[in-house]
Amino acid sequence: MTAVLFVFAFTIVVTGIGWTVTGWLDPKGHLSSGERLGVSFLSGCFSVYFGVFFIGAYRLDSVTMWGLAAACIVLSLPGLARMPWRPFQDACRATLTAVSGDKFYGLLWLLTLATALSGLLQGLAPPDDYDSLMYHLALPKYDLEIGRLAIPWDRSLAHVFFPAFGGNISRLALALSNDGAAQMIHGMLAVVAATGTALFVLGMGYGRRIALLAALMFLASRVVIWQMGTVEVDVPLAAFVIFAVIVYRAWRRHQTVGLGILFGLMIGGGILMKLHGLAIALSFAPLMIYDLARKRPSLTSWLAGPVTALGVWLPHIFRIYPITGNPVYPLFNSLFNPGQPNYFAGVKDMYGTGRGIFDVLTGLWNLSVLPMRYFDGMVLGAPYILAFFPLLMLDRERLRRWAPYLAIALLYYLQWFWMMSQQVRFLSAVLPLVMAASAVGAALGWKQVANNRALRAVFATLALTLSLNQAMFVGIYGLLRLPVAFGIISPLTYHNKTPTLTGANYETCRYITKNLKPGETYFSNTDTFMSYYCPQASVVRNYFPDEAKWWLYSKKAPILTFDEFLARVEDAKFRFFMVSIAYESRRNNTAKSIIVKRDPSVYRFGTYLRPVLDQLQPLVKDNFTAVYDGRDVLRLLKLQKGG
Amino acid sequence: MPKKKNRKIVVDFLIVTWVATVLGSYYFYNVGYYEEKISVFWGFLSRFII
Repeated sequence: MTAVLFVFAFTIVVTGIGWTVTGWLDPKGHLSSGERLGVSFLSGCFSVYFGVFFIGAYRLDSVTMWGLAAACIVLSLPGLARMPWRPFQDACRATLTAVSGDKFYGLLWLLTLATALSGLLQGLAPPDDYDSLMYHLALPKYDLEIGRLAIPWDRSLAHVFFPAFGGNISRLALALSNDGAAQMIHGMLAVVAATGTALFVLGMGYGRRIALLAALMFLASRVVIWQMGTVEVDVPLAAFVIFAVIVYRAWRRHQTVGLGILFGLMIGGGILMKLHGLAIALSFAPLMIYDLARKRPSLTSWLAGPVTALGVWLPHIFRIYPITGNPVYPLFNSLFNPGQPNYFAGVKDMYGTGRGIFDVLTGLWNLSVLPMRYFDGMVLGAPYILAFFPLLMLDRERLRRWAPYLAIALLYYLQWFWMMSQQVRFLSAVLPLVMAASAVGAALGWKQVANNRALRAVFATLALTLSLNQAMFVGIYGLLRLPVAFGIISPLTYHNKTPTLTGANYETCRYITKNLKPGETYFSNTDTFMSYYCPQASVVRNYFPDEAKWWLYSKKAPILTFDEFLARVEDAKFRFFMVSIAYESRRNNTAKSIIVKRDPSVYRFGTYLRPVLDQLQPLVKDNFTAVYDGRDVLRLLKLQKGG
Repeated sequence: MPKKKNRKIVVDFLIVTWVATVLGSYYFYNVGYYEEKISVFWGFLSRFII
């Protein structure tokens, strides 16, 4: 319940701050009230990002974060006082009136609100997605345990140098509330993205039914409903992208410096949310150059966006460049640091059918129809984008109006295709635009066949099948996460019964958390990740502090002899040893879970530890990890040396 | 006029054929996925129901 209140307060406060900012930058109200609300929420979030960024560098705990929260509350008051509450109430009343007279519109509202609310509340479930356990939540938890922003070098994660717009929101939420609040705020960003999708459609001249359908289609997408209950950042990036498009659309009409700055804030926020925002910025470039040539705006107004985006990104660059020598680390590392490791080189060619012209042309078909075969799983769900998106061509009159915005999506797709790892979830950034076009396509298709009774019945049946299929995905996520979110089942039962890739290590981590005394440390060589549920600062994970930075500069890990390892273990007096015993693979056509037993000797120090662990019973174990008593391990390691 | 009408019928038919092809292909290639997911989900539910 505190998490829900926290998220409610967070939303009000950041929107209040952003309302003042948008008032300064768009005094003539070129953005509609709805557009301004969305932009206000997103620009208000910068106060949290920068607050944690600068304050957390010196001290990060509940005291400083309450201080930041108090400052944000004060800053939000002028904006909240100036908000047009009465017109907002009138708009709500008008919507209720419209709903009562239009059953289909009412149904769309009902489904949209139910999907959004379900997704938001799923954030209250214990975190169980791979990336959040590995770094989105684990890194903020590490910082809070340390008491300032820091780098856990022994995780060997380049992700520690990613921009942390979402991460800093999580840091505030963890300091003042809990991980449920962190997840719900990220869910709120998905709601903002859905709102942006609807507003974009309205701004293109279509009606409220199509706008709402677009928002629903976005929210029901499998990647969105999955990420809403997590602190993943693909969908939050989409929120910045769609509002960047909306603000840029307004800028094209009015070309004010203020709108340029707001556009820069949206682009900069996107980059800080996820580095893929850089590809979005590049996707805008041809349109901006075209507008510079055709519309001849003042150079100040034209440059306001790029300069602002760079300005909000610079503090992050100043933080990582002295350490990595690469302003966009880990991207393009071979360019900035020749000879040093290219961190994500291994995943670049894991997905997709290839990088040829035929592959790029058939890409949308393949990722929609054959997602399990070539890509990162069932990311979109039922193929309603592929079915309806091409039907946009039926609206020949308005195609020219669509062209600039579809060009942004197309350019991003091409960059994704040729420059990135072809994970479909990375396309989420342009999902609002694509969903807007698909919703319009669906409406146009319906209108086209409306006079033919037989074809209309077939079209309706196909659309209903797609809808029910997608409703199944939405429903399943709700059924999995909502019982634990409402306390009907315990987190332990949830983690034990819910299919989660390679598990959350919940049971083993909770055991360590419960039994590790202040000042004690433990060792872990788990191969997948250092789970968020484990204590983060008191672990030595694979690499001891003096050797932990190796991965930044070298492709080969340092080697310790048995005697060196033993000396360090003796010195550290580890209370526990946590090791991997199995891993899970679902990279197959049906996503069938295959659990593979792991030979402990494949991990670092595994050859030293295996003979010892073979003689011991674990204190606790789950499907994937086991925890051993550190004193027993040390005793047997000494015996092994003696023998 | 009949030419325009014929063209509309062709377009209508193409639209429905396209959506049906997409949907049919999707289920053809992903039937195993749905079988697997339904069995996993049923297993998850049955732990609480039975």
